[in-house]
Amino acid sequence: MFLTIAKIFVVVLAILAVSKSYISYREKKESLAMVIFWTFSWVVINVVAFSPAAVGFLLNDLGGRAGIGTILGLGMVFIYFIVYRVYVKADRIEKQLNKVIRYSAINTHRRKSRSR
Amino acid sequence: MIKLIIVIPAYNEERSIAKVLQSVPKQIDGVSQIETIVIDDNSSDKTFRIAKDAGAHVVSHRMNLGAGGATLTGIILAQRLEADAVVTIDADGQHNPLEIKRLVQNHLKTNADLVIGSRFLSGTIKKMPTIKKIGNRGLSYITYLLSGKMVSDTQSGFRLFGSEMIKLLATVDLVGYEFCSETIMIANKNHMKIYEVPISTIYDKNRTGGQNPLNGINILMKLIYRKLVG
Repeated sequence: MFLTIAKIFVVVLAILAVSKSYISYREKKESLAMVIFWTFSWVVINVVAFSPAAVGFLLNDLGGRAGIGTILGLGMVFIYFIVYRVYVKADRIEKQLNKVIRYSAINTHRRKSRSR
Repeated sequence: MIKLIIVIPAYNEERSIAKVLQSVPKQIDGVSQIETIVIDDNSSDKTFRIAKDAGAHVVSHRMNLGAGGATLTGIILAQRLEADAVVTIDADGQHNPLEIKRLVQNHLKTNADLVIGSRFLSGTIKKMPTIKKIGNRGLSYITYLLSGKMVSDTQSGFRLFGSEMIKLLATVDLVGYEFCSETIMIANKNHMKIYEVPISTIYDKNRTGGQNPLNGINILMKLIYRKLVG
């Protein structure tokens, strides 16, 4: 039961993410390469969700001894790190953008006040 | 005698901005000069024109920065206009501009660097929608945990900033909705005096503005991040 819900959840998330990416592409906010990248990523995530054995085959091919739990754990740490990095960068860009908008508005106001 | 500047962040407030501007007191005891700044936060309606016609200084953002970002723009401009104190008030008419006097008088009497108009200290809080009440209470406790200062209404946009707070805020990078909580954290960290006064609030059922309750999660994440990163 839990696995079925989890699989449905993964499919819904994939549809949402890919359709959002496609809409952004249609609105020219995203490149075709990014749409392909996200679609491919979500296809892989769905393959792993529906047949976890595929990861096992991959591990055997690589000759590793790590269990699936270890791989999932490492994956979680990696994703957490990526989220952290994206958050830090977004915060920095947000601050810089705020500054540019703010001082542009103040300077425009001052210029107009002086010219009156 | 002090120079007071009223800062009004506004986003698509053509229905209420004129009334708010007209209601701003023209004279207050202990105040020699009162000026008004409206920060038009990239409105798509006639907010800019109406505020301009009402005689306010109007600064226009090319992009929407949110209430916190717009308030900070106003405070920085007020500092450049040599304000001794800044009162921030919402443009949607939920605050009574006549109560600006109460904030100013308490500032002059107590010498507080930050005077917060608290909706929770007055009877009108009963009219606040329950979901907002819970959200506001929750954010007040989170602000207390992160700052060590208990304030009854951390999300109130009706505030007075004294000259030391104005100087301090002009040097920091604050963005977004976390502005309200973060100013309290900054004030407490710098040993500024914080004082609260009760204010009345007018809740209009037809008004669709205000914060999305989910913004509370964004505010929480930002506050924790800023606390950790500094």
